[in-house]
Amino acid sequence: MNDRPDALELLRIANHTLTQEILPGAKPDQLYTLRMIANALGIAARELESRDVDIASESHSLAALYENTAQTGTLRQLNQALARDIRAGKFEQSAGQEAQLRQHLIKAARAKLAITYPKGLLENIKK
Amino acid sequence: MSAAVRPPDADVVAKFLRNGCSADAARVNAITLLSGGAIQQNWQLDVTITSGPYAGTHAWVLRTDAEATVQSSSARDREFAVLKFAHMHGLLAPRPLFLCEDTNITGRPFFIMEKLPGVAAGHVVTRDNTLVTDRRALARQLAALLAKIHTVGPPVEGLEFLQTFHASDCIAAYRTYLDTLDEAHPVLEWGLRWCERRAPLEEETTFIHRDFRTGNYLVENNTVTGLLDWEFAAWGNPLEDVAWICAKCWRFRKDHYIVGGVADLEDFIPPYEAASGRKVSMDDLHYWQVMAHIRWSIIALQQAQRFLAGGESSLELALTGKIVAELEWEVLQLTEHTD
Repeated sequence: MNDRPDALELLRIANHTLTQEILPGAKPDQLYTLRMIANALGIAARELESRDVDIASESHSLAALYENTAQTGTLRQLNQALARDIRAGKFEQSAGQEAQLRQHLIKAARAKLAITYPKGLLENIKK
Repeated sequence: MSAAVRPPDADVVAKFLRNGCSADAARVNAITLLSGGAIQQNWQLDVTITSGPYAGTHAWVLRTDAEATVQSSSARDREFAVLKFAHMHGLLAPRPLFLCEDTNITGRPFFIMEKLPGVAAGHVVTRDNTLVTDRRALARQLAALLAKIHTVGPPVEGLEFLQTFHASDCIAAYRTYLDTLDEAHPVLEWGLRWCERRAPLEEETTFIHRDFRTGNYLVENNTVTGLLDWEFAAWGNPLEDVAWICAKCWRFRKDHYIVGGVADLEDFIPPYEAASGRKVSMDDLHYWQVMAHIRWSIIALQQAQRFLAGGESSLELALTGKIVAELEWEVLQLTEHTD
C-alpha cells in the first residue's frame, strides 16, 4: 500500500501550486506552456478520479445495447464491434434502435467531456 | 515552447540564401519561432542581402516540418507549388521565394517565403477590438477572398498532384485513417454514417484551401492581409471551405460569432453568395459543419499519434488528443435530428 497523498491528491496540489503560485508571476512567453501543463494536470486528475465509474458505466451501457445478441468482450472489443456495426448501418433497422444507440453515444461522450473540458457540458443536448 | 525546438543554424541558412539570392553576402540577423505550428514550424528570419535582385533588409519566413520525422520532401515541394500559384492569382498567399529539398542543409526540407504583415493568432483576432473594428467589413473581405479561391477550377498546370475531396472521398479517407488506430471511435463512426446517408448527389469541384479559418488569415487594421497554411489545398466542394470557418472549433470560444468567432453568419454567407454566384443553404452548411468536426477530430487523432507512436515528446500534441471529446460532443449535437 502506498503512503498518502495518493496520485489524485498529488496531481491536485501540483496543479493548485502551479496556478496559484507560478502562473500569476509567469513571464508572458511562458504562459501558454504553463497553461498547457495546468490543463494536462487537471485532465489527469479528473480522469483518475472518475475512471472506475466511467468504465463501469460505459460497459453497462454497451452491454445493454448488445443485449440479446451474441456480442461479448472487453470494453475495447465491444467498442470496436460498435464502431463496425455503426458503419455497417446495423442500428438503422428501427428508430428505437437508433435512439438507443444515440443515448449510449451521448452518455459515453458526456463522460469523456466531463474530463477534458467540463465547461463544454453546459451546452446541453436536448432529448 | 518546448526545449526540443531548436532553430535552424543561422550561418547555414545565410549561406543558402546567399546562393539563392545570387548575392555577395547574406546575413541572418535574427531567427524567431512564430507561434501556431504543431505540424510545421515557421521561423521568422530577419535578413540582410548585400547585393543582387534581393538586395536589402527583409523579414522572411522559413517553413519546415516540426520534427525530423515521417514527412516526405514532396510535402514541402507541393506546398511551395500551391503557394506560387495562389500568390500569382492574388489569393493573398505569401510570396514563396526559395525551396530547399536538400536535407543536408538544415536536416529537413524547407522553403523561404515573404512575411506578410498582420496578426493571425485566433485568440487575438477574436478578442482584440482595436484589430477588428468592423466585423461586417472583415467578414465581407473573408467572403470575397474565399469566393475568389473558388473561382479556380481544375486542371491547373503545375497543380496536377492535388487530390480531390468530395464528400464521399472525405468519408472514405477518414474511415481509412480510423482503421489504422487501435481504439475504435464510435461517435466519429456515427458522424461519418450520418454524412454518408446524406451525402450530396452532385457536387462542384473547385480549388479549395481546406484550412480557411480564424488563425490562418492575417488581419491588420481590420483588413485581411494574408492567408497562410496552404498545405491542405485540394480540389473539392467549395462548401467544405465555407462551413470550415463556421465550425465551432474555430471560434476560439467566442461562440456567439458563428463565423470564426469574429462575425455573424448574415455578414458572411450573403456576401459569399453574391461574390461566388453560389447558393449556400442552411442544410449545406449544417452538413459540412458535421464533416468539419469529424475532419478536425481525425487531424487531432493524427497529431496525438505523433506523440503516442511517433516519438515526439510535445505536450501540445499530447493535449490535442484530448480535444477529440469536445469535437465528438459537437458532432452529436449537430446530428441531433436523424431525419
